[in-house]
Amino acid sequence: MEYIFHILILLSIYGILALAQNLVMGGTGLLTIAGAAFYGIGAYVAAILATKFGWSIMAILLIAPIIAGLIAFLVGASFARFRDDYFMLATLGFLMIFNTVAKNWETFTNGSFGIAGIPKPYILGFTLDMPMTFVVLAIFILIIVVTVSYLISRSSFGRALNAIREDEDALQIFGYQTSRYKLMIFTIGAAFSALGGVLFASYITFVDPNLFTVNESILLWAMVILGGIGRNRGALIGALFLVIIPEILRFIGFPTEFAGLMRQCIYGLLLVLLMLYQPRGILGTYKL
Amino acid sequence: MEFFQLILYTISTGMLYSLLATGFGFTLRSVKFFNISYGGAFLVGGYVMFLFYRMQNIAFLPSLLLSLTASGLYLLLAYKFIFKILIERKAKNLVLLIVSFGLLTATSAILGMIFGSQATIVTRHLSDIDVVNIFGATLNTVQIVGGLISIPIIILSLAYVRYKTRFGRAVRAIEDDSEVAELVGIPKNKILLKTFFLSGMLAGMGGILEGLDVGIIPASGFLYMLPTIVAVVIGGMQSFWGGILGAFILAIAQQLTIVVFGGSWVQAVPFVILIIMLWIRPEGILKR
Repeated sequence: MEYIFHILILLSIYGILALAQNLVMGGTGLLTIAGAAFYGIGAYVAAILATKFGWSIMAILLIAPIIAGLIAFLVGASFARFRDDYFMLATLGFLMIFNTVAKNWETFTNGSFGIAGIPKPYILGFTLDMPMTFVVLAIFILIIVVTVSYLISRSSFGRALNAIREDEDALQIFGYQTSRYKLMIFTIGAAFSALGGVLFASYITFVDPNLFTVNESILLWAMVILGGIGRNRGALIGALFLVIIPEILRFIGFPTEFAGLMRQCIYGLLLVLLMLYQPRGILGTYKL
Repeated sequence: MEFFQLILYTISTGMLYSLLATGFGFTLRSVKFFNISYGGAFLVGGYVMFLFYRMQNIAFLPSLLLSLTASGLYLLLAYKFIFKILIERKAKNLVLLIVSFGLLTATSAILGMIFGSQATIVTRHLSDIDVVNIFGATLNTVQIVGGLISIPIIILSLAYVRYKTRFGRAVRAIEDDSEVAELVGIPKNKILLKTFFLSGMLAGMGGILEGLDVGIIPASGFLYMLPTIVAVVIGGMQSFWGGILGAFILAIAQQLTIVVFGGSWVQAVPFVILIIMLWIRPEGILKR
């Protein structure tokens, strides 16, 4: 039973991350590989504020998305003129810089050793220290993110984002300031990813720089593409598949590290095969 | 550390980056996307060398030829069965980028499952590598024979092939405009297959040198892609010599960072330079 709640928590966290990735990559067609960076920023903000300054996780859940959003706003604004491949390269640069800072700014991040002893959330006299109770908070946050994602995709803002994906130049001719729209969704996506990061840090009680690498971002790509680019439900389905697969492998009896590599192999190949044979993913209506 | 030693290290790093950037540039200019799976060929070279040279105890030269062939074939097959199909469908660059990331991710996971994720040393005995004293500074024989002697020979012979042979002319014609090249009767497909094979061999050579010198890990395929891409972008991707210029600029910048800030910040350097370059001169230093 404990184990099922554990899976549900992981599902909520990756659901949040995949939805955030989908808003930016699926809805707007901005290929970013910085997903893991904002996820990591959320997790590190939680770790640092909670262990060094004694903040409660509930307060951090409010502040971390704002911090990540601010960083994303500045980064996005300075990357605004890069398009397609170059935008991807620039976000890759940002991810590597984040990783280097996490590894080296030892006063705050403890370097490669990471930060341990991150507390569990505490609300209304309860400490959510069991998976059974933590899952309530995780699902609550997931529901918020799902709701906002749906509101965005059904709004005129969301339709403008889809139009940017289809034909940015045409939209500019109609007088839309497409760079503002892109900056906005990049910021919102980062704020959501940070929520996932805070939940993750508090649940695992530990962060280190190796948790937030390029592979993690590629995993998020695979979730979005597998589920169906541009579909919120697709992102959730993609997260479901890719969270369950390593658990099944471990259940069959593969050691943890090997199961991790097998998952990496699976999502790597998935990206190749999907793009070749099923670019719309499971649910998708749109292909890149 | 002594000044002369630093210069030697910078040159030997710059040489390795030049080799990688030259090979990467060949496919980048002809198919016009950032082929991240180039890092996979790097890994295949190093690990196949390990397999033949160290595990099977086959002599050095035959092992070298076998591993270079394997890494060339890796990229050739990737082109023939994946990229070519996508390019013929007129897939966007983003799709090709995602696919090549997927391919590298899967390759490094598979190699990790086979060889483990710790460093795999290709050299048979540590005593096989001599340390040579040059005016008070030291380099080992791999760095001297591999880096300082063979890489310039390889690059110069590639320049000869590129500018003085029929094959080289065909390659340049395809780089200029592949449709026109096809119209005037250049066997585009055949030339591209050869280009990918050649490019894979150069990546494989890098992996072999890395494996002989300090050992290879599955993550190094991606880690070496970073300076490679950055060198090509800052040097000017349209120019054969641009990648080499970029490689040395990068090597110098990294060495200076090590001296001023310490070795651990070095990973962020390429990206700081990349982002600055994308701002001020996205086409790179050298034009064609």
